[in-house]
Amino acid sequence: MIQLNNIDKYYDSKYQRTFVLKAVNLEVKEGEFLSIMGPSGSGKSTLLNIIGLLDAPSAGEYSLYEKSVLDLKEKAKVDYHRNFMGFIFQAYHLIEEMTVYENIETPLIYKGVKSRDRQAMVADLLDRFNMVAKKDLFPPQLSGGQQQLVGIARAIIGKPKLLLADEPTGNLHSSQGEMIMETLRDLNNEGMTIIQVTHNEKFAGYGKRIIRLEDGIVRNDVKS
Amino acid sequence: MNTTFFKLAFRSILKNRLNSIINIVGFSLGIAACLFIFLFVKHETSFDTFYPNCDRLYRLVGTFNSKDNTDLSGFTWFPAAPDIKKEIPGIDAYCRVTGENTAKCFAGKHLFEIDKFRFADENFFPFFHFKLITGNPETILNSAEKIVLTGQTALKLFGSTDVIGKELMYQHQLFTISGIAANPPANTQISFDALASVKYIEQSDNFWKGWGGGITFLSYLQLAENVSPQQVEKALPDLLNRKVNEKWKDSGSSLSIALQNISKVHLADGTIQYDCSSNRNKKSIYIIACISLLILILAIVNYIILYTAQKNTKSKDIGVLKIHGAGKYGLMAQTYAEVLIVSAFSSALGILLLALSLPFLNSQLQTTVVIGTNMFPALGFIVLTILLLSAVVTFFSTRKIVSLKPIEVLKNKASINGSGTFENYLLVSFQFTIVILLLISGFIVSRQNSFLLNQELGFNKENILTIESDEEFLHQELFDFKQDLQRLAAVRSVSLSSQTVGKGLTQNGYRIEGQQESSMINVVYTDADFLNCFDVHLVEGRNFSLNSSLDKDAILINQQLKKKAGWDDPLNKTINRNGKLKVIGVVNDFNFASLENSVQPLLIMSNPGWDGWGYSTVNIRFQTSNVQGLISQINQLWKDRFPETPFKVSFLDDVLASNYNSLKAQQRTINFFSLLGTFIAVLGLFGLSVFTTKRRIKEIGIRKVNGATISEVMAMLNRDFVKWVAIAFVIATPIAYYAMNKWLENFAYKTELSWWIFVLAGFLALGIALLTVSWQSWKAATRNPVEALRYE
Repeated sequence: MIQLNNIDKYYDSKYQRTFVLKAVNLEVKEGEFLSIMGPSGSGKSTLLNIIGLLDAPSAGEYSLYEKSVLDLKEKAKVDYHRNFMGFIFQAYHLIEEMTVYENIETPLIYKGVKSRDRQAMVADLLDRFNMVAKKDLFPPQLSGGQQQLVGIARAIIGKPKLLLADEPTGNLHSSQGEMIMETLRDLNNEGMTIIQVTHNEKFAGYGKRIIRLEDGIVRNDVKS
Repeated sequence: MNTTFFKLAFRSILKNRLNSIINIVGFSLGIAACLFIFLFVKHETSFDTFYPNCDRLYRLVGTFNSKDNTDLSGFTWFPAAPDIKKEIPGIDAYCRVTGENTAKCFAGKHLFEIDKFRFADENFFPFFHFKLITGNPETILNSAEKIVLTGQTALKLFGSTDVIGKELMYQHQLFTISGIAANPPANTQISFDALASVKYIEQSDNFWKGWGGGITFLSYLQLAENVSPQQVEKALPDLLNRKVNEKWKDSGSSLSIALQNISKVHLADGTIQYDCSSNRNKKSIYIIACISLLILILAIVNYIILYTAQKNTKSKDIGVLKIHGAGKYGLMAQTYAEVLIVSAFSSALGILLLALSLPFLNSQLQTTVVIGTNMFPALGFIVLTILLLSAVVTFFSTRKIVSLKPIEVLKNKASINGSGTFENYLLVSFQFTIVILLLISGFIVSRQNSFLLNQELGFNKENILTIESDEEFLHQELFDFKQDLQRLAAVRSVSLSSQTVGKGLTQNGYRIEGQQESSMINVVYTDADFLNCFDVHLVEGRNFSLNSSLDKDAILINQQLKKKAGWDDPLNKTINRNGKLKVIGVVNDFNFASLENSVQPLLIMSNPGWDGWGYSTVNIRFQTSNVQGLISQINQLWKDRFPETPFKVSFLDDVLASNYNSLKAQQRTINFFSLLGTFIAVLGLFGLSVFTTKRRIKEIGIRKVNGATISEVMAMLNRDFVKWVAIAFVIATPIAYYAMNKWLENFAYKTELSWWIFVLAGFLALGIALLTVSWQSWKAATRNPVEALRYE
């Protein structure tokens, strides 16, 4: 599904070039659950952002389903974001002026889903995550774990093929973190491809495959 | 668009309460100003467009050409319209109407003032299609004693509209009410409260009824269908030659006439000197429209400033939405919804505001705009304004943020101190440019006004009472009255004159000795006490002798006239008009008209019988501490002499001040709008200062921990704003200088554009800005730094 060849990401300053990623080759197949690990500054998030089309590599090739997705037009990118991938963030990034219900509903609006269908889809997810009673609350009224659940719900409401999670448990207590990871594992078992970035060895273990980055270079690629 | 957009917009508006209030207040003021201007312009352009045959109705514009000037007049000569109708084919009908006068009438024993009293030809109602309530339009004005009142006037005079056949006395003549007219619409040049028949003028000896004099009539022609005004104009020179120009050949003067469509009369460009008092100069409409547009722009800029200032809290949300598939336009739609709500709400408030302030604005601008009648186009205008306004605001506020890279926003990398704030300051600068412009123009208009009021006139206008009458007096009675007055202890001097000095004097054609062609010269008929009463000085020669019969053909001239005639020794030289007039003396130049004009040549006669003029004004120089007592004494003397003539006294300086009423109205308008504009700009600046200090709270904390004093922190925070206000000053000054110079060109006597006015306006703007900003700076600077740093 995902094919990265020789991806470089660097920043030029006056006298030197700083590499964030160097010659990264990575293939991800459909249905995989990949954890990216590595110390701070090793380039994990950058790699994830490149995969998520939020950042462009400085050199290299990137194709999705054998189609190059470098140099895409803004509109084509928006299409991928609408229909193909979902995002989860460490800081949840929920919109504070929206209720739980509306936060989850947002991507569907941009996709142009009809109002009645949206209601049904959001209701389904709320039910699945046991959040029906909280649907009219605003994010600051929820615990961190609950907020992240809303974040996941929002990310998967559009039934994306690929779920990208940037330290989804970074701000959570371990028990809440485990709940989130269980949820991700369930989603993966249902067939969703997931790539997560994490610091946490234990949570990385939820993945079926772990790669380790160090100074922008893939040091280790282990399938469990 | 989706309802969610609106729901969210509402929450965002409620959350950013300070911003919302500033925006709503600014918008409602801006929208109120614009709506008013819309109604105002609509009203002003609708004048005299409602006649069924409007495109065929033309007014005569007469031109008097003499050697050194051409005078255009909207009022024309008594025989002009009838002669043209008689001799030029293609004219269906004509109708003459006199200018509006305030007339004093007796209804029974009671005296009333009728504001707009006119004489009109008998076909007035069929010609203009004004509505009659009672009376036959064909015969209602067909004899000299007939008069038509509007319903309102009838109610005022008789307390009822059932007044047909009742009598009214005007100028010692009885008029019989022959009909009641509906009130004419507010947007006509020939508005009236009472109409008498032109037949009355025809029979009276007091009016000049030939060509070439007595320009008292608005003359209207109705052209036949398919006849163009040019066709008629082509035939006019020949007609005028036969009637006057041939006879005047030697004098170098001539008349010409042009046709002007009735709907074009109201909005004047100032080329016609004598015209309907209801007319409005196009320029003044442009000025008012510009100012109100500036107000709206100020409000728009406020919104943009506040929105972009707040963008750091917004941009994260926008990043998130983008990642979840929001397109550029979807994001703009979100903001659009928000602005739309704010502006819709502001419009409602603006309409309310306008409704409340309309009487005030109408009196300021001397117009009669109403809300309520035919609001459909106005509502359309508001809806259009809201949509457009919101679109402009949305575009300018969001165009940067929607194209930010979402990942940078989420990582807080997006520039916080970058171009966004620079742009904000630029906008603040723009706001203050407008504020300073408004302040400077306000100052200069006020100064010009007080300059004119306090200008040396060449005569002493203090302590003079004037009694004016509608009619010319019988000489002997008035001389007796003058003697009565002279016996009063408080009266220093009494002089009779043909017109009120200072309000402009009539002109006649005279031929100066040694010149071939005649020229128009101002003239006042008065008496030997004139110089003493007005404190005008004799420069050469002698005054009139007290026995006026000795100086029947003697004249005094002013220095301007001496200069115009080119005489070194003017004494005993002659000026000719119906006989020789001999110069006996020269007086200093004094301003007998409004100071928009410089002093013109003037001649003074003591023999009012010479040209058929009479005395109509009594000027009394007094010296007393009990003015009210003096006035009631004079009133008593007046009643004894003229029991049937109303007594109307005023102070000369008040009469002169009324010359500048429209200037004063202009001054009040500009002051009002500059206050409004400053207020809106201050609101915006305040909102911005709240954001800037909030953003720098951590920085301030660190600086304070490292030893900065409160005043140093304040100086640091205020420095930016000061800089940008200074830039605004630099931009505004030359623009204001140019505009005000242009404006002052309208006056013969003008105040100087002193540098300190500009500096004062600059400092005032700076002071206002500093005060606004300092409130927040002070709060931030006096905060305990620990508090600020705790959130690290």
